Amino acid sequence: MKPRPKSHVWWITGLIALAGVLGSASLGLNLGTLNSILNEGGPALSRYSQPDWQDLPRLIGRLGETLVVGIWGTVINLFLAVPLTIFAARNLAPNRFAFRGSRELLNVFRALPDALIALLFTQGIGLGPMAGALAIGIHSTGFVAKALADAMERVPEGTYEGVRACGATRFQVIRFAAWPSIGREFASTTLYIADRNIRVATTLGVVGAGGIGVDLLTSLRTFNTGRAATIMVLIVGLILIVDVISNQIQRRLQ
Amino acid sequence: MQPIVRFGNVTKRFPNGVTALNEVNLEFFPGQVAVVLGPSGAGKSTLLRIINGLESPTTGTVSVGDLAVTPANHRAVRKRVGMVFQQFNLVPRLSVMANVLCGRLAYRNIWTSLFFTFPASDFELAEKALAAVGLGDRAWDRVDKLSGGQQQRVAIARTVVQQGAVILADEPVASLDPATSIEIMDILVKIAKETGCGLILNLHQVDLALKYGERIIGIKRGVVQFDSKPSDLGEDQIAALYAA
Ligand SMILES: Nc1ncnc2c1ncn2[C@@H]1O[C@H](COP(=O)(O)OP(=O)(O)OP(=O)(O)O)[C@@H](O)[C@H]1O
Ligand SMILES: [Mg+2]
Repeated sequence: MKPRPKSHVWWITGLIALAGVLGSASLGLNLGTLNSILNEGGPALSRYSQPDWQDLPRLIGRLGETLVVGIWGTVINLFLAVPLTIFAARNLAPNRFAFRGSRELLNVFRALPDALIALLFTQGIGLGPMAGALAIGIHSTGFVAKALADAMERVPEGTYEGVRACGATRFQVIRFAAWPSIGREFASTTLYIADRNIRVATTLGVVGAGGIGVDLLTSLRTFNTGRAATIMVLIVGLILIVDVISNQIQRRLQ
Repeated sequence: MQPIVRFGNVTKRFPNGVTALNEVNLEFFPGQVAVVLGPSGAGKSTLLRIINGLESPTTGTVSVGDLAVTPANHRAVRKRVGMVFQQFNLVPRLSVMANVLCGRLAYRNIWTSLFFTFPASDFELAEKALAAVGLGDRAWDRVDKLSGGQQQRVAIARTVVQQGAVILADEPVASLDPATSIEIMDILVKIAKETGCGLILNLHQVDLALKYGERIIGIKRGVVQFDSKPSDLGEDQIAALYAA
């Protein structure tokens, strides 16, 4: 008989406890902080209950910029993802190196958070809103290309073989066997990621990568609570509208 | 007559050590219906798949007309060779018409493919082929809406528009009921006769083989056991082919 597998529960519990102790010491995280948040949080938040609509036209412009960053990020994502998808699908890649290389690249893209890439582009290269779009495009490519490559790998080999046996080139096999077979996944993945990208774009302004995030940051820092409240209302509104639209399209696709 | 397909001492050994074909020498001719029989695992599928380069021989040579079957020639070879599969191997989410037009891809460039701008002559060919297999009215239905027998007709139409010199059919009726099997066999043989194509069929029903074949090739463990007219074939030969 095989020995009973060792349980890792004690290790994990120990690590969590250690993290708790270290965290409370170094970050000021403890029950006392929680208590003061509960006591003082209410009055502090109530200051945000009166939105200040003065600056509305300008803020709506900034909100539009956010939307544009999210949409351009998605467009860049498509341009990157479509060719990478073909290399990253084991059954369509021209060779093993292209397959492994593109899969690793996608892992890196997924591992780098959008905000980190955006920071590199703004501080390192000095880009503005373009940095946000690029960052979002690169990070989301990691997800989209992987999802689509996996879908292409799930298409039965016979489907590819039937078209290949007609003398089709690799491109023609992709166009006539792979593409129609994953078209619906492609549409719904793109829609999902566009929705996600617009949400992410609202925060990227914080690192100076365009959009309304930076206005929120300065309003909060200068205790301009009315303006901050307005911005939050606008952001939530945008997210809700985008959500409704993408749900509508999603339903049409089904 | 010039052979359309030639096997010169072909051996196929798979990486796992299985010898699927062992020193096969065969010639196939235009307008001839050849049936390959043999027990499961005999190497029938490998024999067909080596003709259009879906498998490549370990040693020996295969040629289609004057073309040697090599990776560099795959497109040119496959232009001349249509193939029908047991599982139909169509693209389920494409229309019947689009599936049939796949048979024209070897003739068409990247732009035609990308934007689906096949010339009117291709659509005419496809319509004729669909009429010939009795599916003239289903051109714009999605293929996965059709029955198995109808899907196999689409697959046959796809080989017809290739206007090739030989059609390979790997157990084309193994997934179909007996009545539909007869319909499909009739269509395949009729098309081969009308176009003068060579037809090479793998079958596992001996009665169908004797009914349709003009030549029966028996293979077992990758070795050709007999190659003769159905009328010259003894029952003992067939029994020996399937004996363990
Ligand atoms: N890709 C492969 N890798 C390894 N072995 C294979 C491969 N394809 C076929 N074989 C082996 O080669 C031998 C011949 O296979 P093949 O498919 O040609 O037989 P077949 O006569 O078509 O059999 P069936 O009637 O079951 O379709 C079998 O032993 C099979 O297991
Ligand atoms: Mg077989």
